Amino acid sequence: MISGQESGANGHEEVELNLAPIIDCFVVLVTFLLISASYLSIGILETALATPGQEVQSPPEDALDIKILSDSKIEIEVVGKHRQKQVVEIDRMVASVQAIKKQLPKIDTATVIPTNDMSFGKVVTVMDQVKQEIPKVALGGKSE
Amino acid sequence: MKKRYTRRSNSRPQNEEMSLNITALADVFVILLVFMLKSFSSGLQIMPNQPMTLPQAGHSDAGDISAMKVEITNNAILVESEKAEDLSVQSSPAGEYPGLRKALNKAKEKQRYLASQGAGVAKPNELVVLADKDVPYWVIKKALVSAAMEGMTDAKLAVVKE
Repeated sequence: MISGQESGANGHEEVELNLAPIIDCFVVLVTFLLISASYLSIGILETALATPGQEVQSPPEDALDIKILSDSKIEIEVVGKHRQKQVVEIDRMVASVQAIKKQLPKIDTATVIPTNDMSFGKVVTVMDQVKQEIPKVALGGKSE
Repeated sequence: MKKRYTRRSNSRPQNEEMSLNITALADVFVILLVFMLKSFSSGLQIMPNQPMTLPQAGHSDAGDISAMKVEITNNAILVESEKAEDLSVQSSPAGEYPGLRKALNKAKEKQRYLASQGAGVAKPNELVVLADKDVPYWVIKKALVSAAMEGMTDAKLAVVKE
């Protein structure tokens, strides 16, 4: 809506835009968006499925296999040139991976191998912890 | 100490009309609206359509989410919000999901058609998996194997940032 005001004898008219209805619309829109907004922040964990028989262009010198044996035990195995294996408690896993990474800094790939009946939430927790040290984390599993 | 309240003398006439300058207010609202519309539209793409609890992770990336969406709940698998596989019937960890493969193939065909029409579509070899945290791992693995058989080898797992 435009309201006009006569400014005098010279016929020059000052035009003023009425912003009140626009502000009303904005208030309604902003309120609606605030109410319907989701405050969950969703992130992405990049992964790939390691399948047997898959061709690898240039296999890494060393890689890490992390087998989740049970809810509390994890087997960490270095496959490649510097083979080694250890079974640790799940809460000691990060420290063990850190130690291996310090010893073999070229390791940049890990494969998490959970048991079939393990919940997806638990698998993601382990992947997340491994990702602290190793940037590329793939998922594996026993071939059926 | 005594407080003294003084009244400022006003030179204005008493019946003068006061008008509030709402231009600045309008500016603020425009900025707020643009910001909220932007976050609203980017968040919608990745939101699950089925009720589920996503797992939590602290080291996730914001990432590019322009990939095909696969939702896995305890009862069903959905591709781009359409039911592809019923999980309420007993199934074994071995093999693949034929319904999921068919749905992925159909979705890829749709994306290809849309791309030929010039529309912006998801990347053909990527998928975003939104799965409930209580789903057993073999279901996820079987779904990823089925997707890999359709040439979709890059999987992204959707998580809630801690």
